[in-house]
Amino acid sequence: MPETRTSWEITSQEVSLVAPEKLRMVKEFLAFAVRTLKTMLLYPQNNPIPSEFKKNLFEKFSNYLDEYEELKLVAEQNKILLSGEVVHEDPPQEEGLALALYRDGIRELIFKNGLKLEELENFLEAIKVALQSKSGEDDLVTLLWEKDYLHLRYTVIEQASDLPEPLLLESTSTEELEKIYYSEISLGEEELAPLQEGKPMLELADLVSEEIARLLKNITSFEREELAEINSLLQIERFYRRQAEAIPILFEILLQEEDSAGFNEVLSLIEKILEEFLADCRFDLAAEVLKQYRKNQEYFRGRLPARADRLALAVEHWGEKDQLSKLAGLLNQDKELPTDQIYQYLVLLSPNSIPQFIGLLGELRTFSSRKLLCQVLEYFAHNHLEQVASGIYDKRWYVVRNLAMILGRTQDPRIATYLKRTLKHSDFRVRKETILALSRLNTAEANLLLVESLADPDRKIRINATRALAAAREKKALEPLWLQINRPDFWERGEDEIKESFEALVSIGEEEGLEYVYNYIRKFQLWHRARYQECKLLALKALEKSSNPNLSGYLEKMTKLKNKTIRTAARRLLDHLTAKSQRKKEQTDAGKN
Amino acid sequence: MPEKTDFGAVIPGPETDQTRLVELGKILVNQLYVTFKTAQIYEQNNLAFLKQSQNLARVVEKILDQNQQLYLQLKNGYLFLNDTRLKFDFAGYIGNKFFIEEMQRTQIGSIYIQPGVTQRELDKFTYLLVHAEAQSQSLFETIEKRLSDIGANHIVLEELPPEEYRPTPDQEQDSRLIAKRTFFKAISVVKEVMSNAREQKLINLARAKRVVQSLVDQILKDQKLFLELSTIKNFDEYTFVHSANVAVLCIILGLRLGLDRKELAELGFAALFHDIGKVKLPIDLINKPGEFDEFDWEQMRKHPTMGVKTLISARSLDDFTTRAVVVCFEHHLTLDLTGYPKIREKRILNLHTRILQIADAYNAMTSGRVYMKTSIAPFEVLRKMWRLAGKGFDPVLLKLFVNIMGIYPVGSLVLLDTEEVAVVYQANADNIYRPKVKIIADRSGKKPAPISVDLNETIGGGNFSKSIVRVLDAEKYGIEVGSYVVDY
Repeated sequence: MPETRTSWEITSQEVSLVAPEKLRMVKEFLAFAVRTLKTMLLYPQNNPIPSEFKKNLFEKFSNYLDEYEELKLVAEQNKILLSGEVVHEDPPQEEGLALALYRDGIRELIFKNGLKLEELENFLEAIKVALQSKSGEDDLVTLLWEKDYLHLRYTVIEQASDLPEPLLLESTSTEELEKIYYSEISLGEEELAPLQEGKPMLELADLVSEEIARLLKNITSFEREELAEINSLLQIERFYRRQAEAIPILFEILLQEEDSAGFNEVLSLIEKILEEFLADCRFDLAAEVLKQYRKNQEYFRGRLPARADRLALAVEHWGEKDQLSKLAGLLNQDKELPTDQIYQYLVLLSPNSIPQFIGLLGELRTFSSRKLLCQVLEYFAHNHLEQVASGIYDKRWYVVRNLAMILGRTQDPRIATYLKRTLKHSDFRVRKETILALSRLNTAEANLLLVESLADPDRKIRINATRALAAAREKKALEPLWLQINRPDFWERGEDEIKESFEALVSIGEEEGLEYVYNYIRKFQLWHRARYQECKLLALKALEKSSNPNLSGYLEKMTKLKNKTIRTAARRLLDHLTAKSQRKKEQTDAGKN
Repeated sequence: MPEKTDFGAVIPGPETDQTRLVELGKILVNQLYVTFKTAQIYEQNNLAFLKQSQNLARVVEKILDQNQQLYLQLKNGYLFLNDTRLKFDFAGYIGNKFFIEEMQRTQIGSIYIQPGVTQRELDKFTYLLVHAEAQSQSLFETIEKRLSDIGANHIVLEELPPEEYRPTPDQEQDSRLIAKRTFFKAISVVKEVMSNAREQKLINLARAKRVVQSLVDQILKDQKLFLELSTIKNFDEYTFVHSANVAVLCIILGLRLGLDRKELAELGFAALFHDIGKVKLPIDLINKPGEFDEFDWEQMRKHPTMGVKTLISARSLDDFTTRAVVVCFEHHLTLDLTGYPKIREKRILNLHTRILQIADAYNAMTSGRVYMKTSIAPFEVLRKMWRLAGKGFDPVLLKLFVNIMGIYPVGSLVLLDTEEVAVVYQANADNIYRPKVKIIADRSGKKPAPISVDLNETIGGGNFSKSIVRVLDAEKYGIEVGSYVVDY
């Protein structure tokens, strides 16, 4: 509890001879305290830098208090003193530590040995809040009071404005104010009857219920059930939701407003608290407000359509560009945010905010925030595909890339129409994402687009398209694949692409694919034989993927080719397949027995 | 999140060492209280005392088994067990308060009990504390020496540091002055805020918050004085005194329930401004001559919602404002949600609202602000409030309130069996039927200087010297009870 004195009781301390070492220590850790406060103001709360500073400061404090037991500081307007010696001075024209204390009436601070880290952190946090407070609502004294300090005391002066007015003056309250203060407790006639002296307190005839009789049976002590009742009341308090409690109250009042002026007044109060919730990163509460907007919109729709429209406009307002820009500013700070709560809030906004979300996607700097916004757009895309898809016309490739991903996640067949455009995007990263998106669909239209991508100038895109087509077993890809393989520069492509191409041929084509591969392998090459040999070997290897019963026939044929390397490889593969088949048969027979 | 059982009681979350220690600490303090009380009545070899002492020994043993030490310390007005602060709820309030006062009285700052302590040592120790008297040295020194003489080697005491001392009479006088100042500051703050709200000026509630926190601190120190102050009725600033009185009564009731400091401050703040909405009522309603009709009351009943609007527009929605908003909105709703304003969705009335309803009604009726403008004796008010228990007031909270105020609350004018007239100035927590009174008129009707008497004190043979026969109507006799209760 703070000690309160009047200003004339805080006399300047006697200037005593303070040991230089003591003075040095105090100056040092006060300077460090100021730096600590600066890091707290600069960095987010859970950032390791201010945490480290606080720990170091605590160590310095503890060392001092271990040696000297107590630290008593006096605050002046821009200075802090220890036994009359200045140990800290605020920079000129700057609101520093000394002024923060002095302004709110704190004149003395006493730290005691045993000070805990938590106490020091709370103390610094209170000063930080007081320094940041613009409205003057947060007073350092009230902030400090809320924490129960065991090893910190402070003295607050009673300022002139705090002194109560003199007693027994003539009433300055007006008659009208006095009239207002009638209580509305209405008593029945019997209760207003003249007081009967001597009527005992505990007349059971007065009771209204058995429950009251039980309560009065023993007025001076509490039975177990009564204690349980009190505990139950206290436990209900534990579920008190603080700021959230104001939301249903405001909406109850909103419902009761008879005239438009009152309705608009309450709406503006709701806006005010929503603004505060967003500024405090209480997105859960902000989401609750939006839910209430919608709920009440429904309520008014059949009764007072103008009010329903007004509520719809209110929701629109929170999805407007300037509002979302503030959110972007928050998301771009390097601090941990409750992303699931932000998601819950954003998905409650109007679909008319989609263009703003898309715009925002290009402004966010952190991966986690972009991911969040993508999830939000994905949510909207299910029912508002066209609006979300309009983002593919954005000039920023990274926005278009994300949109392609979002569309792909919806797995809506209609997205192929939009992805047709992104497939032709100049940036290969967009095209790559488009391929991935198309591969999720497995529709005829999507597969046709994938087939087109086989001719993409980018290798990775071709590979992804090939893979996707193989997985989809798209027959229309066979001929284009064969065309690619027969390109004169096919052998220049990377091993991975060559391998993928042959494997796709085999899995899509089945027997036809086998025929293609066999024809490729037995083809005579005049130039670049070594490279072609490698391709042929890759083609042969790709045959492992085939489950066609005629595979062994083709392999037999290959074992009779002139090319010794091919013959050997074919024989090896055939033997391997035969052995595998035999093993399988033996297992099956063993299973039957 | 703790589990809820079917019937609503909550099973606490998983136990930690600290929560176990706190629970044991509460049991210890409660047992010390019971043992001390028994020691006051019975001899050391009496079975009743021995039974309690045995219970005490068991608790001590359990603590020593689990923690290897038992170090009970009084610091900053709180009790600590092995450096862990003990927080007491409603059930432990009286024991906690009693034990702290005992430690202050005997100037004991801490009690260190070592493993190996016997029940015999504990018996002697308890008995010694209860019956020790200061001799040539201080009470603490006397006790310390006696402890050594009786061979209680496993119990070590430390003296209370000066800052923890009970105030000297001069310091008490200072405390009373500070308490009065705080109370009148509260009145002044209410007036300032209400006036600014009425004139649509900027409302600064930060000062109110400070005053409320001071109120809480002062009431924690000495609630009795504030109950005395709440009897002032004819003070010119009474329109705002009501809010301050209600805040005081709320904080006292909340304190008994075991609410912590912050919750008490929220409660006090909410109480100060529960009627802030009234300043927004239309001028023509205020200026209307004569009494209000039904339509006027209809307007009046909008003040809860007006209060909510005023509070939210004045401040950011912090914990204080939110609580004030909730209480402001609910305070004319009954437990079954009749009353006003009419609401669409069911809700459970907030605990703070329930507390305020009792305090508000009590203060309003005892101060003549009821519709008919007649004040009603406190005793009678409580009786009338019982009729509304279960609908208008939470019944168990009301019972608790009666226990705090006493059957004869502070400010009651009573007739004694000696035909003297007295004013109740303090309730006795030990016996709510026997408060402390100031005799203001003798049997012949003469008014000597008031004499203070504790009706709970016994004379020879265990009899009471005086008893209350009936309650009198102070207004009927033209007696201003407040002037006898507190000097202002």
